[in-house]
Amino acid sequence: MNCREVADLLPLFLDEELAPDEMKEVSNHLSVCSSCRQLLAEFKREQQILRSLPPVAPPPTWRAELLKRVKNQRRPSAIRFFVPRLGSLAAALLVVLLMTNLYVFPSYVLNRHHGAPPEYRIAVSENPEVANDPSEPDGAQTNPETTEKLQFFDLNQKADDLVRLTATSDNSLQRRWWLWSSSLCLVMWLTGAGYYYYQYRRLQEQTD
Amino acid sequence: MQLAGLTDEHLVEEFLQGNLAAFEELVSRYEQKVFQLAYRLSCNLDDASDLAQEAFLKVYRSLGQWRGKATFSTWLYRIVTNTFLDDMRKRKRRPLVAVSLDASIPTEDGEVTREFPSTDPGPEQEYLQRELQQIVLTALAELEPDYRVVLTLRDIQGHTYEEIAQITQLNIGTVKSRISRARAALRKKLLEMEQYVALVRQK
Ligand SMILES: [Zn+2]
Repeated sequence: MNCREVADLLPLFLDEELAPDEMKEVSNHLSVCSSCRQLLAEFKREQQILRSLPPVAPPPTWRAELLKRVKNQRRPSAIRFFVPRLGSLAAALLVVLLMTNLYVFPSYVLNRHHGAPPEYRIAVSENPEVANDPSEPDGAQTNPETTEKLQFFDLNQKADDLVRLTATSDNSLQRRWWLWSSSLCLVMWLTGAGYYYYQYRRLQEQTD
Repeated sequence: MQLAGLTDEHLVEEFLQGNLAAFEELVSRYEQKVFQLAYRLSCNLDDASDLAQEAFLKVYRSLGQWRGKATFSTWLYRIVTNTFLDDMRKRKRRPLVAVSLDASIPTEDGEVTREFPSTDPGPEQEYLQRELQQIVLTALAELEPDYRVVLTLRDIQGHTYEEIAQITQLNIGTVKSRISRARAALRKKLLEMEQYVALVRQK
């Protein structure tokens, strides 16, 4: 064993934490090598200085402060950790969802009881040419004076066609809107939940 | 109920059944060791107070999960070192402020005295020892947190390698190599400090 190898082993030799044969080899080397003995003495001195440090105690008010902090909190369980956090998150998102829907579709809310799509006013013409004007889809026409859209119906149209017509346009957009905004909310909720789970795991790891 | 006569494990049981006094008894058993560990790791009084309190608060919040996986004290020291390492990672770039020679530090009697009280007979010898302690603490504060943890546990707190392995949740081989490298790193730091080299020569 050369000096370099011995030098690497000295920090553990100091604590007698080497394997028995290594302990023996190192002591054999030390008995014939004064520079390694010197190095061991230096390691020993550094350890001795650390061991000689005076004991330390907390300041007089420390325990009272700790107990005060303790009394101000309750022990968290997974339920106590997640429910309030996720509950408030979900509630906030729900409010956002409702508010935006009210904002984007105020007419839907206002008109739904009348059964008419908001952008159209149902008008009836006895003239089939007006009612079935091919230049406008579904026979819709714009009143040039008010820019109001008028929906003409052929009175001969079947009743269920009429129902279907009133149910489309605005409603399909509304459905898409609900789909998108609720998936957005779901993504945000999952992100928040992931963040809380990360925090919770960290607390657990530190105390595990 | 005589709490003082109970084992740590029984105190934990008591506490889990709602007896807060049992927690206070645990605090009084370990506050000195915990505070000393916190102080030697974080190197100043404010951070140490915070770290030690934070550790006990975590114990308070999670005693229910302990369930005797390790001994109570091992678990407690683990929380201190984990919390410390976590804090260090968070403030990577902010270096620690090492204790100064004149820093006052509370002792076990609850009195605030100078960091290094006299222990040696001759005043010159005493002065030299204090200087050396101060320099070694400064060097220790500059080590990597992982090294500081194992050296503090070993040489200041006096734990065995086996206990250190349980506290740090490393296997014994890793503990050995880490302590070995920590000692070498401390020595390297000390040799870079002219003051230390001069004092040692003088001695
Ligand atoms: Zn040699």
